[in-house]
Amino acid sequence: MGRIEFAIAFLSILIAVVAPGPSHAQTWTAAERSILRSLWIGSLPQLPKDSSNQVADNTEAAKLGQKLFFDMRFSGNKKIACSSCHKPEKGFADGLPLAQGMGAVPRHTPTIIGTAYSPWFFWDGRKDSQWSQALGPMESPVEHGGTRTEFAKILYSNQAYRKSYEAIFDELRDTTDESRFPNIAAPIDDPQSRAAWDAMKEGDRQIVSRIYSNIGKAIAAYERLIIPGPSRFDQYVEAVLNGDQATQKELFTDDEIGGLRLFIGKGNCIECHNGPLFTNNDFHNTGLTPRTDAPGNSGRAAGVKSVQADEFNCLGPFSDAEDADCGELKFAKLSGAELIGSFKTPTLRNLGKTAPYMHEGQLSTLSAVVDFYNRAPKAKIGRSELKPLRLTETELFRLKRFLMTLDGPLMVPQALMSPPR
Amino acid sequence: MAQLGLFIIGAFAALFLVLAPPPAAAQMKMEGGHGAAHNQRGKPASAHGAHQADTRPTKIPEHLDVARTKFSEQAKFSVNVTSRLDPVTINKMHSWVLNLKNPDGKPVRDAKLDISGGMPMHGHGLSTAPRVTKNLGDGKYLIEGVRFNMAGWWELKIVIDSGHHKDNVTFNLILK
Repeated sequence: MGRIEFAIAFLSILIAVVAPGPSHAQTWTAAERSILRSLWIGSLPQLPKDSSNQVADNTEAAKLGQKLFFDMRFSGNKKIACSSCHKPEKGFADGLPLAQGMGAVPRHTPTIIGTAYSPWFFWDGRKDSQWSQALGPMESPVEHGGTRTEFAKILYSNQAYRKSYEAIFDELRDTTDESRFPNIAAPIDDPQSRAAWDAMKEGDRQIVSRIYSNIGKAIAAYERLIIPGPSRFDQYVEAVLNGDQATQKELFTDDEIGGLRLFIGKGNCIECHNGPLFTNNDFHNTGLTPRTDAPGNSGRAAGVKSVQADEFNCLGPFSDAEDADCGELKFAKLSGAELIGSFKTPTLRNLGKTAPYMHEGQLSTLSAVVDFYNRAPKAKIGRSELKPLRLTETELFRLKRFLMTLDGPLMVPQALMSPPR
Repeated sequence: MAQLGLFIIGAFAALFLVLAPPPAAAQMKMEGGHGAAHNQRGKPASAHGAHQADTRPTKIPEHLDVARTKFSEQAKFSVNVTSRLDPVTINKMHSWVLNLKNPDGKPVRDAKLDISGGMPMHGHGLSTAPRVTKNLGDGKYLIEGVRFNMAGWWELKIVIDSGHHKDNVTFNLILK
């Protein structure tokens, strides 16, 4: 072997040893492994206690809630249930840009998966518990379009409902007397429903609102059980934490690894999409252009005011919580420029099933999403927190490939995925 | 020996070639391609107008003071803060105890404290509105309602009004 050939062979070996080839891409530093662990589903804690709902972990309540969740009778036209928009087969969302109930809903349907871990509900956080959230759409004229007196009457007239309600809560009060309990009455914007509600005696209103809040608590007991299962990403992290290189290679392509590096690195995604549910459950302005000039565009700025005034909030008369359990509500930020035009960070788990994206379904594909974050356009309302990422097309592709690894099965028994028998 | 020397030099040269960042020209080419994509939409890469007047720091300063005990800006008070959540982790509501003394080390009781803060690199404030909920006595105050919603550099700013003196203090936290 001549000197030159020897030098070439020597350098080739050297390059093979130190060059960042595909096998090298599998290496994560201790700090990176710690970040991966924080995103791993194994880091998801036990379901947090919902002190505001004393039946949150009651299996009978969950069964009742499941029935209610799928029951279309609890709507103005008897055609809408919670499951109309939160379809189990579509990741408990609906696949539409904007939800469609009895009318056109100005928001994209968020998934229910893992929401038991969130302190805030709706895109603008105008509710502070799963049970209180469940009550919102039921009286919204464009969603279920019903009223609480109707709902109380449906429960009372149905033997099975009445029996299970009384087994879980207490006596279901008789609301059949129309002179005391009009068929349609609720403290909502609709003038007729409102007038009928205002004409009722305070004690009767309390009876109805108590039943209504219990409907929400039963639905929440069911919704709490809808939690995500391990995705391919979680299996990969397990392999990383176990130092199992072979399994890592089987599970993730170089593009997916590259995407994960961007996700926790210069893509800045992890700033808000953190923790095992890939969300900090907080509110951020990302500069999305609203579809209309609706007043709801102020996002959290309006949402936090609504939740403070809500009779069904943690501190309200229908909550089972002690004052000390209501930290999120008591210490909620009420003002500040960053609340304007800010909306809740959604989970990224199962996002392959929950397109389109964003609070008004503005972005129809994952490609559009990563492109949007890359450009970070100026906000039309408030100020965007984003900075342009300036990623290359290849990097955007890798990021997208990584995001697709977050799809996984739900940790939900099949029996909970459809109406109970 | 001369051959060995040559190999060592060769090895270092190879190492340099492999490990050195891509040349600036290559990077510019990548960015040029990226900018061109924007041009197709009529939005050049430089048209991110919202960010042009951005005064936010782009990185955590070297030697950032992360002490939990320090004098206030005008040295009117000595202030210590201790989190009741240790280590401080993100997305968890928790409380802090603030211990307030005058520069001589005597407790400052019945002061008014106003708490704010945020992330200097992001330009946003705290995600909650913490406040003093209990005067624990002996210059100690309970601050409830603190929740940080992301990792990174946070500031906790406290305006202190003892009735005799008013001063500010800022604590830095690096959360992982």
